[in-house]
Amino acid sequence: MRNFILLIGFLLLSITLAQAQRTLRGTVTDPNGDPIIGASVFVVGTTVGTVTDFNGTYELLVPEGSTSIQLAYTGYQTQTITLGASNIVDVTLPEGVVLETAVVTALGIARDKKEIGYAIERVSGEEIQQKGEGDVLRALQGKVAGVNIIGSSSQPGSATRLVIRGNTSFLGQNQALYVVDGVPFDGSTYGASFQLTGGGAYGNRIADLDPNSIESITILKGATAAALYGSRASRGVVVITTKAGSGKKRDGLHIELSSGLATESIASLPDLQNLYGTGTGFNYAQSNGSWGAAFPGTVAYPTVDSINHWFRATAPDSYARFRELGTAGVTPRVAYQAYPDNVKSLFNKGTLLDHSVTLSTGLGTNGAFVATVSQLNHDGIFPNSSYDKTSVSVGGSNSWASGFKIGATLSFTSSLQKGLQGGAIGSAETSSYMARSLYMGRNWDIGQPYEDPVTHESIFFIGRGNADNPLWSAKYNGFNSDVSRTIVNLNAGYAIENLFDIDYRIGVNTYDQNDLEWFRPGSRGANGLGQVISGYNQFEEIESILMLSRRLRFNDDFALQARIGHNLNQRTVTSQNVLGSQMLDFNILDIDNTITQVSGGGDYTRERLIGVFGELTFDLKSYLFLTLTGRNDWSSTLPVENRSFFYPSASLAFVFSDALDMDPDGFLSSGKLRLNWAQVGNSPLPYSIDPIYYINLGEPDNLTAGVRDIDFPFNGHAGLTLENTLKDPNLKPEFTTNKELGLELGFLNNRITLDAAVYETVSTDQLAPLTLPTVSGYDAFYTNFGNLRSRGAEITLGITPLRTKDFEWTISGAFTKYKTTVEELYGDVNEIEIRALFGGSITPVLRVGEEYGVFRGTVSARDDEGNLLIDPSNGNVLNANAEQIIGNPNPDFTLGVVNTFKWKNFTLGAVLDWKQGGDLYSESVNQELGRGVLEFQAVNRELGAVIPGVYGDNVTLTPLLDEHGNKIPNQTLVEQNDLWFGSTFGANAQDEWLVFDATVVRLREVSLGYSIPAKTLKNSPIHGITISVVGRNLWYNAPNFPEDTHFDPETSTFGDSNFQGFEFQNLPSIRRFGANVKLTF
Amino acid sequence: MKTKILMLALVLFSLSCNDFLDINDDPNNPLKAELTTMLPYVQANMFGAMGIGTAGVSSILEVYTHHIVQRGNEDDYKVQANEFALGQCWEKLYAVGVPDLNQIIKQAGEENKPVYAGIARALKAHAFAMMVDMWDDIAYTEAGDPLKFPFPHYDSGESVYADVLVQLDLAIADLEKGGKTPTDDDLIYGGDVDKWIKYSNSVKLSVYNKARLTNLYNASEVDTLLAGPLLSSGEDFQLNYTTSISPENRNPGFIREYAQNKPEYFISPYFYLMMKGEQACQNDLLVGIQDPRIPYYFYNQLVPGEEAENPESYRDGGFLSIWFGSFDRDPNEGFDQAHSQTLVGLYPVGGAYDDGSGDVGSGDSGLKGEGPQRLLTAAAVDYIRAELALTQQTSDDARAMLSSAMAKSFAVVNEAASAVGAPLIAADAITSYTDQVLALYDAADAGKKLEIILTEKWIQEFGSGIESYSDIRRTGFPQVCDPAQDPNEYSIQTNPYPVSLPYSGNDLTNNGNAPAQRNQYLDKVFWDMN
Repeated sequence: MRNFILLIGFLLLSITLAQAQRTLRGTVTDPNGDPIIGASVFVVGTTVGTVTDFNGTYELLVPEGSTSIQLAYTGYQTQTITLGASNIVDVTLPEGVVLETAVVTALGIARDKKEIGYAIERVSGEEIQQKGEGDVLRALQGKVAGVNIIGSSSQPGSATRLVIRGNTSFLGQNQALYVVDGVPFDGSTYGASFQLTGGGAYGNRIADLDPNSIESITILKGATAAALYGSRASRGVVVITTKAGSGKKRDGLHIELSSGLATESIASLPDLQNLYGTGTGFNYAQSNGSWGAAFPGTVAYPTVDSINHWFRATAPDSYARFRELGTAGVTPRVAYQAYPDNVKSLFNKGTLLDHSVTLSTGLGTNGAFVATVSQLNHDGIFPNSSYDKTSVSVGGSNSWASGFKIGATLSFTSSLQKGLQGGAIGSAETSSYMARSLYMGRNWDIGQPYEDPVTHESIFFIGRGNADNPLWSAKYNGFNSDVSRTIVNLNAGYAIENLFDIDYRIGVNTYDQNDLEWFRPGSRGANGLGQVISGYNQFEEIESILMLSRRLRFNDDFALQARIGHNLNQRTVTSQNVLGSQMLDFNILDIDNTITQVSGGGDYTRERLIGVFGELTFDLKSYLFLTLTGRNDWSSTLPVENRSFFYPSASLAFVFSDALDMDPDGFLSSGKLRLNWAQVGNSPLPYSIDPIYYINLGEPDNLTAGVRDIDFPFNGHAGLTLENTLKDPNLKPEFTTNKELGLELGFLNNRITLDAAVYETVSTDQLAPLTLPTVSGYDAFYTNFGNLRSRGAEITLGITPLRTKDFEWTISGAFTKYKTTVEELYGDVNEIEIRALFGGSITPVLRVGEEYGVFRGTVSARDDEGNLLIDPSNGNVLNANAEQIIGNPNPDFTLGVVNTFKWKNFTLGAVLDWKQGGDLYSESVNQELGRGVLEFQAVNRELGAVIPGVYGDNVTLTPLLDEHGNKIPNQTLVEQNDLWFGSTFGANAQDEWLVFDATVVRLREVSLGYSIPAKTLKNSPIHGITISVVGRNLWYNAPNFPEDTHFDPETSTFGDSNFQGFEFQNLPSIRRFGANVKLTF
Repeated sequence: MKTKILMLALVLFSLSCNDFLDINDDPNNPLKAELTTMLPYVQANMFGAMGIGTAGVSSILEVYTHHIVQRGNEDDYKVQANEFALGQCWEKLYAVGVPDLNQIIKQAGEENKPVYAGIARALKAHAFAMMVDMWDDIAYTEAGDPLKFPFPHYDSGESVYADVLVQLDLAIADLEKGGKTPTDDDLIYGGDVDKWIKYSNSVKLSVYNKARLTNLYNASEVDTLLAGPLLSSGEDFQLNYTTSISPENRNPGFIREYAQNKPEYFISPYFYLMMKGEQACQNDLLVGIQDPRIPYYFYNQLVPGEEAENPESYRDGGFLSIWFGSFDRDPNEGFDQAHSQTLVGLYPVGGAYDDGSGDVGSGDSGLKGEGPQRLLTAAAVDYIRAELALTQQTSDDARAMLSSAMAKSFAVVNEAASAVGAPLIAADAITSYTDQVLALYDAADAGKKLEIILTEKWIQEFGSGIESYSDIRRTGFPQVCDPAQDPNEYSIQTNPYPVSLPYSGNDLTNNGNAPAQRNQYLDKVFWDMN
C-alpha cells in the first residue's frame, strides 16, 4: 500500500513538461445572444482552463500543440472547437438536455463526468428551492435514483432518513455521509428520550442545512465513488456545495431575494361512522371504543337519548366553576349525539414562511464573495408545534497570479423546534397528542373544557389514567429543541509551477443541541406529578485534508492525473440528560422547578482517524479512463495492533461512442460504460474494546409502561453493574466491498438519455453487538461477524418528447430497486434484534436469509392447510405459540417521474412517485379498527360475523376433529365489536394483522413558475422575477390499507433510525400549497 | 511561500504519531467496581426480577395464584414466550444477575472478603432454585461464561437443585469465615452475617421441601436444618423500597397501583371471598372464618353504594373488581375503573390502609410505596416446617408450626399498620381467627390439614407469587378458582393449569444447544408428582 502512495508521489514530482503558449480570447453567448457568465473553457487534454466573466468573455493561455478547446455550461450543450489560426474564438452554446460535464467528486475534486467510472448524480439548488419544502432531503424525494428518502412525521423540523443503495451496516449508521463544502456534516439524531414511550419527533441534524444556500448537491452512490472519504464512505456520500463555498465569480453586486409562503393541512382523515357512540355490546358506557348504543334516530329500535356528563372533577371546588353543569353532587345529563367533526377539529392549518437573501459580488479581479441569509418559520398543523430557523452563511475566495488561492466559509444556523409529546398508545408515560385523536369516541364533544379550572388537570371523556385530552396535551405537554450550529471552513491552495498543486482544507463543524421535554402536573404521563427533562448534546468534528495533485499529458493519446493526500479527523460528542420529577410551579419549564432530579445518563466519546490516500487516473485517448485509489487509515477505536487498515478501489470509464467515433447526430449520440470495484474499511464505535461498569443504571426506559421499576441510587446507595455486552479485545476493521456496472447512453442528440447501473455491496466482518442467548450471561458480544449483501439496480431515464422554439416537455424517471439480505450472522445465532420495542411485541430483526429489518411478531394459529384455528368457546382466533417473520419494510422498488413542461417563460413541473411494496406496522390503523370508528364498521353492525377457519384445540393448537376425523368449520358468531377488538383482527390482534403493504402512488410535487426575462426588465434595476406556485403531496393512493382509513404510509415513528416501517400514533402527513417570488437585482 | 507550505505539511504529518490515537479509554464509565457498589445492584435486581411490577415475574404468577386478576393472556392461564415480564425476569436473572454475582464471588476471593462471596453464592443459589421452580431444565453449568460457552447447554432441574444445595453449603462456609462484612451496602441484612446464614439455611429448607417427594430429599439434612438457625420474625428476606420518586425507589407494585392514575391489578374476587369467609368459586374451606387482614390487604376506592364510573363486573360493598377468566368475555370487565376498582393495599406494596373513606388512591396514599418486596419470609419458613412435619414426620409439631406461622403472618401486617399509623389488628381478633383455623385444622384429616396449611400460607404470600405457584403445582393447594363455579356468567377457563412457564422466546432462537420450547401445560418441573 505504501508503495502505491509513494509511486503516486514519485509521479507527481518527477515529470514536468515545458510548453510554449498563445493567448486565446472570446465571448460565450446563449442562442438569444445573451452572454453566458461562468461558462467553463478548457483546453482539451490539459488542465488549462478558465471561466467566462460577467460579459461572457474569457481569456486563455493555450499551450502549444493544443488543437481544441471545450466550452461548457450547465443546461447547455458542450461544444468542442477546433482551433484555427485566429486567436479570437466566439462561441454560442445551444440549449438542450445534455450530459453534464464537470462534476464534483470525492474530496471536492472537480472532474469531467466523462472520465468517471461510477454512478454519480447531480441536483442543482434550483431543483430543491422554492418547492414549498424547508427540508433539503424531503425536497429531493422522487428525484434521484438509488436513494431512499423517508420523512418521519409532520412535526415541523422532524427527521428525514436518506439511505443510498440500501443498508451496509447491521446496527451502525446506514445513512449517507453528508459533506458540505468539503467537510463532513454530521446528520445524526439526538433527543432526550425514545419516541415509543414519549418525547418528541426530534429532527436530525441534517435539518440545519439551509436549502436556500445550496448551489448544488452531488450524490456519490457507491463505495467506489466515495472511497477517498474513508471509513464512512461505504454508505455513499451526499456532497453539498453551498453558494458561499462555490467560489462563483461575479462582477458587480448581485442580490437575489426569495420569499415563499405555504399553508399546510392534514393530508387525509379517516371516514368515520356517526351512528354509534362509546360503550360495548350496543350499550352506552364511558369508554374508548365506539361500540356502544346507536345515536337516537339512526336505528329502527329504541336507544338512549341522553347520558351522564362525563366530567369528573377531582377537586370539590371544580364543579362550582362549571356553572352550566348544574349543582355539585348532581350529575348533569347531556344529549347523546354524534360529533362528526370531532377528529377533524383537532388539526389546524399550518404555515411555512421562507425568506432568503443572497448577495454575491466579486472581490478584486479574481475574488468572489457570497452571503446568504435565510429565515424559515414553520407552524405545524398541531397546536404548539413549530420550527424556526435562521441561517447565515458567508464565503469568499480569492486567487492570485502567483498561483496562490485562499477561500473560507462560515455558516451559522440557529433553530428552535417546538413540538408535542409523542409516544405509543400502550405506553403509560405518554400523553401523546395522537393517543386518541384519530379515533375519538363518536359522541365526544371536543368543544368541552379540557382543563380542570382548579387543579389544572386534564379532563377527558375517559379516565386520566387512559389518556390526556389532546387539547390539554398540546397545551401543557411538549418538547423543544434549540440548536445552534457553526461551520467554519478554510481552504488554501498553491500551484507550484511545473511541480504540483497543493490544496489544504481545514473545517470545524460543531453544534449544540439543548432539549427540554415536559409533562405538566395533571397529565397521564410522569405519574401525573409533572416532569421536566433537560438535555444537551454537543458535537464537534474537525477535518483536515492536505492534497497534492498533478495532471500530466504525455501525448495526444495518454494523460495521467495523480493525487496524494493526508486526512485527519476528530469527532467528539458530549451529552447529558437530567430528569426532574414533580414540578412545583405549574408553568415554569425549568429543571429547577422540580423536587428531585436524577441524571439520565451522560456520554462522552471522542474518536480520531488519520488517513493517507492516493489516486491515479490514466486517460487513454480521452475515451478510456482508469482510476485507481488507495487509502490507509489509522483509527483510534481499534486495538493498537489492528488499527491500521488499507483499502483500494478501481474504476474504469469507457466512452465507446468516442472510441468508435460514432456520429453525435446519429441515433446513438453518446455512450459510456462504467465498471468499478472498491473496498472500504470501517472502524468500531469508540470504547468498544474494554468491558465497563454502568454507574447507577436504571431500568431500561423502553418498558411497556415506559416507567422504570427501580432506579439507582437506591436508598442512597450507588449501584454498579457490568454492562451486558461482552467486548472483544481483538476487534478488526469491517470491510464493505462494492462492485458496479453502469451504462450511460444518449440517443437522438441526447433527446433520450439513459443511465443504468447494477451493483452489489457486501459488508463482511461487521462490527456490531452480536446477540447472544441471555443464558450465556450476556445479551450481546461486540465483535466482528456476519455478512450483509445488497444487490440493486437503478435507472435514470431522461426523455424530451417535444422540443420546439417555445415549448419543451421533458420527462425524467428515477427507478430504484435493491434488496439487502442478511446472509450470515454467527454460529447458532440466526437473529439479532435491531431494537427491542415494546417488550415482546413486534420487533425489527436481522435474520439470516431475510431482508434487512424484517418484523418478527406474533401470529394466529393455523392448521397445516393454513386455515385459522378458531376458539370454539368464543369464535375468536387462537394465537400461535411461536413468533414469525410477518413483514418487510423494504419496498420492492421505487419509481419517481418528473415531468417538466416549459412554454415560453412558464414552467410546469410535476413529481409523481410510486413505491411498490414495503410493509408498515400501524398502531393508528389498529386503533381505528379496534375502536369501531370507521364508516364501514357501522354498516350492518347489528349482524355478527363468522371468522373463516376451523375449530382448534387451545392447548395443542391443532384442529378439533369431528367423529369422522374431519376438521370442523367455524360456525360461531362473533359480534362486530369482537371482530375488531377481540383476539381477532384489530386492537387485540396478533401482530401479523396490523402489518399492511405500504404500496403508495403519490403526486408529490406540482409547481408552476413564470419568469419575467431580463430583457423585459431591461430598464428596471430588477434583472429577473420568478413567480411560482407549488403544491406538495396533492394526492396519494395506498390501496392496501383498510377501507376508510385513508392512511398515508409515508411515516416513521423512529425518525432516521435503522428500524423502519413502524407507526405508533405518529403525527399524520400533510398536504401543502405555496407561492414563491424570487427577485434578482 | 513554498517552504512555508511544506513546513505546514510536515507539521500535519508529524501529528500522525500513535499517541494521537491512544484515546480509546471511556472516561465516563469505570473498568472496575467496588464490591460495596455491586452488592446493592445485584440485590435490587433479583427482587426486581422475581417481584411484582411491570418487569417482575410475580405480576404473572400472582394471577396464576389467584391473588390478582389482570386483563390479558394470564387471565386464562397463558403466557406467551415473548411476554414482557417473562423476558425481563429472564434478562435480569441471567444477563444482569449471573455475571455480576460471578464477578462479586471472584473479586471477593481476590480481595479476601469471604462474606461478600458467601452472600453472592447464597443469592445465586436461591435465584437458580426459583428458576428451576419456573422452568425446570435451565442453563446452569454453562451459564455466565460466554467466551467458553456462548451457546450454553441446559441442565436438568434436578441436577441444578442438587448443586444449589452444595452451593448453599459453600455460601455458609464463606459466611462463617468472617472478615470484612458489608454495612448498609447490603440492602437486605445490613451486613449481618448471622442473618445471611439463617437465610441460606432457610433457602435449603425450602428447596428440600419442594423436593420432598423426590430422591433429593434428605431427612437427616432436614433435621439438621430444623435444629439450626432459620429465619425468624424481623428477618424476612425482603427488599425495603422507599418513598423516593426520583430516583424511583418505590415498591414497583405500588407504582402500578397508585402512582399512575391507572391501576393495573384487580384483586381476585376469589381471594377476597376466601378471606371474607365465604364460598369462593368451588372452595368452601374457610367459610365462616373472616380474616381481619382484609382492610390491610385491599384498599377500596368506593364506599358501599357509591356509583362506580362504569358498569361493574364484580361489586361487593366498596369492593370492585373483575373475575378471573372473564377477559374479553364479560362485557363489563374492560371498562375504565381507575377511580373505582379496589387496589392492592397497605400490606404487600406499601399502599393504603382501607379506613372506609373511599378516597381515590394516589401516589400520596398510605405508605407511598415504602413497602417491601418479600421473597422468603419467616412465616413461610414456619409454613414449610408445618408441611414437612405433617408429611415427612420431622421433629417439628405441625400444628404448633401452623400456629406460629399465622402469628408471624399477622405480625408483619401489624408492622405495616404501625408504620402508616393505622389501627393494629387487635390481639383478640388475631386469636379468634387463628383459633378458628386451628379448630378447623384439628378436625381435618391429613389431606385437609395440608390444604389448611397451604391455604394460610397462600394468604400470607400475597404480593409474591413464586412460592404459592410452586405449592399449587406440588400439592394442589390452595385450590384454584374454577371460573365455571364463580357467580359470573361470562367467565370460563379454556386452558388447563400451567405446570411451568415457557422459556423467554428470543433466547431459544439464537441457541442451537437450547432445548425445545416448553409446553406450559404439559412440561412439569421435576418435583411435580401430580
